[in-house]
Amino acid sequence: MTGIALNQVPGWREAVKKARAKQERIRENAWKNLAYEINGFKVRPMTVLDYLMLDHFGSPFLYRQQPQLCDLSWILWALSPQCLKWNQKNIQLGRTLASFFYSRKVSKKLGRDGIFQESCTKVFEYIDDMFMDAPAGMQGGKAAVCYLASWFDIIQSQYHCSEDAVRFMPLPQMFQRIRAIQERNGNEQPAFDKVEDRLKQFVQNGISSRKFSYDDLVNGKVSFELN
Amino acid sequence: MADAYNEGVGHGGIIVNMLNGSAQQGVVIDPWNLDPETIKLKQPDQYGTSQKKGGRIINLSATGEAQLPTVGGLGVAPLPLVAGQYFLDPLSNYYFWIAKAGQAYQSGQFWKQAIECEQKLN
Repeated sequence: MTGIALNQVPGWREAVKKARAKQERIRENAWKNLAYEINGFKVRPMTVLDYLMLDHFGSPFLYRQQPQLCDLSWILWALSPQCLKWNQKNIQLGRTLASFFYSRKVSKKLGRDGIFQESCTKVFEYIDDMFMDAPAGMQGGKAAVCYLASWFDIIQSQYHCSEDAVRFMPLPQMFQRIRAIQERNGNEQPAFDKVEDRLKQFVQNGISSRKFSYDDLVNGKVSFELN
Repeated sequence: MADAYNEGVGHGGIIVNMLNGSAQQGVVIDPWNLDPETIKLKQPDQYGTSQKKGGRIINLSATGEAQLPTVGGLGVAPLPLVAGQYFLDPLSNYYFWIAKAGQAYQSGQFWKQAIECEQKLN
């Protein structure tokens, strides 16, 4: 067998349905401005400014690297609603003290091995949610402008909002807006639905690395539960 | 040909083996839309009125959206698809070759590209 129709695979439809529901939930949550919770610590939806700061300081969570406890406590502080409040007050000493006590609280509550790993996994999932609709890059495309210039240009040219409004826009909202603008303007690039695409990639990788065969798929020997 | 459309889920997608990089790899094409091209056969009587009608499929064409991983299994680096590659379509059971491979876009660990295919006749 050198190929199969995906709807012949037992469990495929249910798995795709579940993946689509998850995608829909993530996209909707982006517009509700709900805070995420990571083992008792509240985290805001990441804004463009938050992303730039995390990128500037090389947070391992953005680059899929092994984080340390200090990385965890720092990202939880940087994305907490409290940090935003202190930044708006702009009182240096108060902010420093608040961040010190917050980090101590994180270390105390999430410092143990099991819960540390679990918290890091949740932060990685949060990052995945934030970047789910990030614009696709072209293979071999020319990088004539910085990606940030593209983001700001697309949003500002269509919505006429200030630079600060874009800076404080949650990433998932901005990415969905960019996608809507591209669709409205007749951009014919393929649609990326990352949760569903990961499911397809699981099947693809399984076939390519011979973990299972087409026969296994058709005979229902492959479980999609964990994906 | 394919199963009936079912709540917008899992319709029309296929996974096929294709030479990609330096090895055969699974490539997901979803959606996969077949477009049968037919010749209508008419046999008129002596007054020009049709007596017989028939149809014959002459050449199938298809469009689809291929998804490929940017990192392959077994140490193979997959490449975006190019025109000329071919595969066996499990829905029609005919070989198809890629007549036009669109620009590959990458997001996360996937490449996606639109493809236009023609039935391979030899």
